[in-house]
Amino acid sequence: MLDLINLEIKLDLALANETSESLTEWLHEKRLNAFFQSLGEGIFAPISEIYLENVLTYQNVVFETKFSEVPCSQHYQLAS
Amino acid sequence: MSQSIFYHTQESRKNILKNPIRCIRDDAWLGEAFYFWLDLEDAEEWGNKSKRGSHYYEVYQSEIQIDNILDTVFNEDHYFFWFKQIEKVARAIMSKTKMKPTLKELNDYLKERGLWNEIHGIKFQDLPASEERLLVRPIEYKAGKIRHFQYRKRIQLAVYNVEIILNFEFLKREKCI
Repeated sequence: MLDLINLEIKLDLALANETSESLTEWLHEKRLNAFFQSLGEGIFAPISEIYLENVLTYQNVVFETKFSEVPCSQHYQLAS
Repeated sequence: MSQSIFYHTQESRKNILKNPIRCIRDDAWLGEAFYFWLDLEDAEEWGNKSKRGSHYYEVYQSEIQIDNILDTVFNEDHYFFWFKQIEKVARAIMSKTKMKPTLKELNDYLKERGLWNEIHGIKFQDLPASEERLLVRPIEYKAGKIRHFQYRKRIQLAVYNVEIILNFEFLKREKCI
């Protein structure tokens, strides 16, 4: 059996202790997390051996630079 | 301990589920929870409309202990309590942040601040969008406008405490239509 009076008292006390800063920070954090959640979780997907060989054997560029130029969509797939 | 039967709908997967899946969608009405339907027909309709990924959906049934459920559908005290508290939190957030919260944010506030851990779930309702199952003839206006009378509640249960979900079992697998 739920004690509604006690639940309301707990809520009133919590709200009385909230400030503009505390609630704004909480809400911003909430919405930021929701935004990142909406993007999905990044999961490394396998890349083809030919593509990998081309990248690794390409002599005139720094590996990191070349790798970072590859569109994210080739490395990640959205999961939800 | 009081128990009731509820239904859980999921997209059909390779293996039959042993436990329900917690909904973490941002648009879930009552926040992160295990969502159940009271009516089997609503569970089936949800499968047809929203669980079409594999072209098949599954419905599971479960007994759920309802003693510590906030029943905003049939319990008048619970409904007015819930309504009042939701508006109270919304007003506080709006006045202090100048932003209007979503219903999920309101429920998350209550949950994350640990205020209502005694509440193991919330039963709530909306009105079904489909008109095929309504047995009452709609009102027809002269201008041709038709108005359906939504006399049937579509009732869901959001369960926060997994321990009240008992005897979760597979009921049926159907092709989406």
